[in-house]
Amino acid sequence: MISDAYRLKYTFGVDFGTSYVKYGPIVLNEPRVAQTRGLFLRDLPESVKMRIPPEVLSRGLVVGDEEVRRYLSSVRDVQRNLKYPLKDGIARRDDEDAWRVLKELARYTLAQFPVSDPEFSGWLVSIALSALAPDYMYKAFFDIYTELAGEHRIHAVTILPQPLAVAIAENAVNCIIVEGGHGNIQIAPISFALIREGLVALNRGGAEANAITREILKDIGYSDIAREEYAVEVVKRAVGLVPRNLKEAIKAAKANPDRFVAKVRLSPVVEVEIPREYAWTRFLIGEIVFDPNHEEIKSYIEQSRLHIENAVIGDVTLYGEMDVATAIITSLRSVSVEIQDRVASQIILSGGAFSWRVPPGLEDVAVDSVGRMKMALEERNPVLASRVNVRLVAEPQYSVWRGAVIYGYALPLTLEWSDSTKEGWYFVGGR
Amino acid sequence: MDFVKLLLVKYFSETLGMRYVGESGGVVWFEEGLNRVAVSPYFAEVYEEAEVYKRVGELMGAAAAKVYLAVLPEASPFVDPRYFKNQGVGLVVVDPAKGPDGVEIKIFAKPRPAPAADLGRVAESLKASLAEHLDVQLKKLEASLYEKLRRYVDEKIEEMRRQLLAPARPETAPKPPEAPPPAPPSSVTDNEWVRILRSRRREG
Ligand SMILES: Nc1ncnc2c1ncn2[C@@H]1O[C@H](COP(=O)(O)OP(=O)(O)OP(=O)(O)O)[C@@H](O)[C@H]1O
Ligand SMILES: [Mg+2]
Repeated sequence: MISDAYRLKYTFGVDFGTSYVKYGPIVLNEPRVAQTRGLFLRDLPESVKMRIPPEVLSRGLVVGDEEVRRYLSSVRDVQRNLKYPLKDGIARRDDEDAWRVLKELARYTLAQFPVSDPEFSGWLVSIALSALAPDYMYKAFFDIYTELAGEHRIHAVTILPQPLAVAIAENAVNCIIVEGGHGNIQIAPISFALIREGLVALNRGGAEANAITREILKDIGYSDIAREEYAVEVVKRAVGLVPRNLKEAIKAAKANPDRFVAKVRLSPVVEVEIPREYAWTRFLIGEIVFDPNHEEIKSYIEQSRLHIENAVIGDVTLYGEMDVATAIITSLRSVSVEIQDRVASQIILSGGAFSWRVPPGLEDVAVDSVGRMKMALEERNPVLASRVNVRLVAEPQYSVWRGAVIYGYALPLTLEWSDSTKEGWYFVGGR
Repeated sequence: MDFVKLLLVKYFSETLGMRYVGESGGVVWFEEGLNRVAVSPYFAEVYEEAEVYKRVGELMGAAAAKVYLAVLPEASPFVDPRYFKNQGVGLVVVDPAKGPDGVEIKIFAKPRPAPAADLGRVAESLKASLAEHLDVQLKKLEASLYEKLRRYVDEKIEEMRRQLLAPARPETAPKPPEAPPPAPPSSVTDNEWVRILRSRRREG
């Protein structure tokens, strides 16, 4: 019999994000994090093969930040062999390499937490996926964990949509969740459950901020640095700014560029400088997440190979260019008027793409994500703006995991998985 | 030798006056006085940005005083002139449709003092210092995680102490400190969702 005390120890949460997997048992204060990628050990010289433990070699791939880094230099064709399985939170059905990486990540995350407790009779695994995940992803994950049950004890598995997990973590029963990760922004109205009709997704996220950072670096003359994703990521976080109002911020930065020049040290010998004539571009980096519809951003998009366009997953369109405020209003419109009232009381921002800070002294032109959201709503719909409370979760990258473990703890084990309601437990060994 | 490469060799020897030395490892070699010049022809139907830079990287390791990458006009979108200029790598565009007049040096290579060995060493030391930097960052991260873990353990021990002090329940034998009974954290006990989810039942 599985007691509440047992569930408080052995519920295991996994948030499969486009760039990071956040995972671990409910007892952790915060999840562990691993990059969502795997390295296939193909095309290896014989001399390297001999140095790899046979069990690793036989699996044919490695995951985990350390492990991937260890073998990266030995693999010849990194382009082909380093695989990021999720795009916008979704793995394609026929992408075999992607599913092999996801399975390896599932195994890896469990393997980090060996249990010796004699009372242990298996994990209760609670997985958070994109709200747009098609049915085949649910099935594929159940299959993965069923196969892993031979190696790691697994009692049952459940899956929940990421925005619902955020609402749970925030103890918010009526709200609009705006979850902005690396690959996409999911906007979901919640009223005691996720309201699917109101789901609006944007085909933008932290990745687009990286892309525009890369273009800016190239323009300044740092093309070599621009090719390294790690470097771009560091520069983005360090210099990116969210403007109160893009036009005015650019004007201010062009009038007084010295206030906005920035330097980022990437290593003891490499420093990137955003010089005076490019200081204003710092605002494009933050703005693109919220609203890419500006001349200044468009011209960067045109000169680069960055595309901001709609994408279709199943029967849902992910909008490329829609600004976040419009998306929230669109989402709200598609739920029944009676519920709208309740739901519109609070907007909760979550996900790494909203982790922007305002450097001291730039408060007159730069804002944080909450500030930017409020202003955009004010512009589009003052009535809504005046009554809604907007806030950012305490730890934007962890709230999905947090919600997932609470969900796994609370969902009755008598509730068996149902494909139609997408709720319940999937018992890997059958029952 | 194919036509495009011929145009290239003709241009370098006749127009620029270099001496054609030969070809090795996909690189065409010339001599300009006492200096060696390496030209890497990348003539493809479909261009890949990564391949462009891979070849530039290889060229920079070549033991030559000047290095050039030669491409067809189709490669232009993948070539960032600033990068070439910064690195001192030359760029030649060959348009076979224009015949002998179709060769143009878009960017002249900068003479490099002692190329091969030194560049390699700089790259190595750069890599090493980057690794060191990452190491320091990781250590910092570890330290902060450790700090959090320590606080968590302290909290749990404190909780346990409180439970032990509470009016004794007969069979609650003191458990080993590393496995305290998990007390529901407030994020769980005070969570309205827990109540809502617990009441979920399959409707018939
Ligand atoms: N301080 C920061 N400033 C700006 N961006 C940040 C910051 N911290 C993290 N990010 C961005 O957040 C993104 C990762 O967030 P998160 O872990 O929520 O995404 P994910 O779960 O991997 O992706 P998704 O939910 O879209 O599938 C990255 O794009 C990262 O660059
Ligand atoms: Mg996410």
